Amino acid sequence: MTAVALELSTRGRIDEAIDRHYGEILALARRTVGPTHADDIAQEAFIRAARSLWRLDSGANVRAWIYKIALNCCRDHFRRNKRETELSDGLASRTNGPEVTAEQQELLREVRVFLLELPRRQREAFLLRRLQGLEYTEIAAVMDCSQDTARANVYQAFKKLRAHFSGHVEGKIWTAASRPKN
Amino acid sequence: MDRCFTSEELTAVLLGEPEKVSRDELEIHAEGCPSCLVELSEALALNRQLGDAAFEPTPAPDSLRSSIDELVANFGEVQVPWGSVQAAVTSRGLTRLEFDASAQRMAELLAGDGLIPEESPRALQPLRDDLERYFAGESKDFATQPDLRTHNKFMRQVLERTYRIPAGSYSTYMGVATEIGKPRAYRAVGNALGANPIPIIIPCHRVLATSGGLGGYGGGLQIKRFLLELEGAMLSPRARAALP
Repeated sequence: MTAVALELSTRGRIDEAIDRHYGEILALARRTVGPTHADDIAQEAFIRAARSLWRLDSGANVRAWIYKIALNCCRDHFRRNKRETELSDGLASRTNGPEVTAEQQELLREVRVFLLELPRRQREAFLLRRLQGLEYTEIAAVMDCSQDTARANVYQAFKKLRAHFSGHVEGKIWTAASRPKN
Repeated sequence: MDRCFTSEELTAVLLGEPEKVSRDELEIHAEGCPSCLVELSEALALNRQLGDAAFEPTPAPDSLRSSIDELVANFGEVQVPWGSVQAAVTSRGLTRLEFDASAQRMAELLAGDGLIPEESPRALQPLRDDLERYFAGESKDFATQPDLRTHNKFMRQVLERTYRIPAGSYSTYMGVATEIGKPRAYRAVGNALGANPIPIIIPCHRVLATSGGLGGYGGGLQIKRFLLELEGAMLSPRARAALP
């Protein structure tokens, strides 16, 4: 029995996964379902993961696998709550970080509302790439698709997002002299 | 660049993954192209507002680790007089004892119960000590308590009632059904005991057919006979005659 004959016990692997990935899964949940249910979703994801970790091949990408479970938990949450999501917070992974201004919070809230209107795969691919910083290899593993498909979904979502917020975001129009260097 | 940039080129720059066109090239072009300048400015502003792809390292709450601890089922092989069985214990007690299961099958059964299978034979030492004393005839009591939380209410009622049948005596399916207040459910009691997850410790071998016959046993009637004789149960002639 390969799965349970590993050097690290199942419990040890679970602890390692929690230590490494809890923060980002909590951020994903917060960005997807909002702050009130985010802790529950993150915990549910790790408990589900713990229950099936023994089946996971030792060479498998644990991060991608936990993201996949967490997104399933988010989908179940939406099904249970008929897509109702609380909109008091935006996409910020922090609830009240001083670096996130009220204006930015409002924009991020609007972005999250907009993302909910996108096809699921575009929304999830965008979240994973732009907001969670996953590589395309990982997104492909999470979404059971090719890297090209993952990338196409991210690009489609970003294009729609830009079109939707065109004219709404205050962008500084620069001149040759004032062009920002980075 | 001597042309307007494409949406894909702009998105690639926003995502920090330019392949053909750099941000500098876009900006230099935009300085001389009013429509691209607006598009680029807005896109960069939106991108900035989205913030970095970042998250704060957040320690998991203790409640998560304790919830997981509650679900871990340590399993392994335990020797019995007729060979070996697979058994599993949680922090609450014994949750499964399987007469005829491989380690793989045991892990699947535990996962099916919603538990976290962990192959850890050392955790079963208290059960080994219990069984050793039991089979040596030194004790008929088990220090290891059953953990029945994964079963439905009816199953728990049947198993808890059966658990209280003392060694050396026996009951019937009808008797157990009556004791739990469901006298007409004796067939369901039989089925529940047929699926007893913890034989020996929950002594379903002490439950016989209402007719006086021996009834069935998941591990085989020879083991039922062995256990009843070990405990010195005074069986009816009919039950005795049914023993293999």
